[in-house]
Amino acid sequence: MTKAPPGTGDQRRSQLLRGVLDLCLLALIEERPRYGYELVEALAASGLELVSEGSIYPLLARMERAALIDAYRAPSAAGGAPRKYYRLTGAGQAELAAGRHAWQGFAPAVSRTLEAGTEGERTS
Amino acid sequence: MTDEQILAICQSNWIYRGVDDTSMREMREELRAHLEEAAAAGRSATDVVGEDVAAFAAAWARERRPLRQRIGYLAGVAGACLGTALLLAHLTRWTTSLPVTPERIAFYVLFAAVFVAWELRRGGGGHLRSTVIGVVALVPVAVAAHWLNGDITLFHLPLWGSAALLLAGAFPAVTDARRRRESAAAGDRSAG
Repeated sequence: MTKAPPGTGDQRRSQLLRGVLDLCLLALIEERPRYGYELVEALAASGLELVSEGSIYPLLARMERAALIDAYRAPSAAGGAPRKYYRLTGAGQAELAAGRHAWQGFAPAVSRTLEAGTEGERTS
Repeated sequence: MTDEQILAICQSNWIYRGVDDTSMREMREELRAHLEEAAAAGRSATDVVGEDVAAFAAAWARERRPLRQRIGYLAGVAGACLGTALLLAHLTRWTTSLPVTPERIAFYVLFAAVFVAWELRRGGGGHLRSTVIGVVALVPVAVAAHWLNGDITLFHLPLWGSAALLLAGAFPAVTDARRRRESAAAGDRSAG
């Protein structure tokens, strides 16, 4: 699930993910309350692998401090000690909506720019 | 490195950085559960916390208690210490008006700077050690200021001025301590 970045491609992916990791976490928490490990698994299932899984915890702490999410403890389906589940607040919902809107404007613009470069290479 | 070793490194880092007990317990349990689930899935502890465990712990601690919160609190503590020292000076000299000399200003200003800088670097908690370091480091500064300026009195500080400084410093420190206590109590309730 977790890989050390051996080459530039993985480093690039890691950098890109770092920029949107908060939105991804908010989106996953919006689906249903989850605890840290579940978030890492859900990211990996979407093809988003973290260089260090634990890097989500400082981010979750920051979002909790900003009242975008709050937490409660409950038993997990996997058993064992109760886990700290994170759920979205009203402010988190608004932040996620704004983030989605920004991403929907940003991602196509990057794609257009990158594809224009590819077409330039083809014509030259 | 075993899970217990990682948890021990994290805990000592969090203590060093002034994370309160309730938060630390919660972070420790959260990390322990993650490490166990990752191990069960065949991943190593390094996959979870990275190569630099202390950096991971520090990043987490910083997000729990950010720099600006700590600066406000420490400035308050430094002000309260200064006010207390001045009130003691009023008491020992049995006067309501304290002569303020250049070496006294140099000593207190630099003491406050060293105290806050040391506590920020350390993360808070051990005020006594910071105070001792501040005093030891700055006595030579005060002596040098005295040697350079002689016995010039710049102004006289009234008793109410020292009391006001103590109250101005104590207010943010007490408010912050109360907020942390309430937050810890809320954490305990949600844990229960």
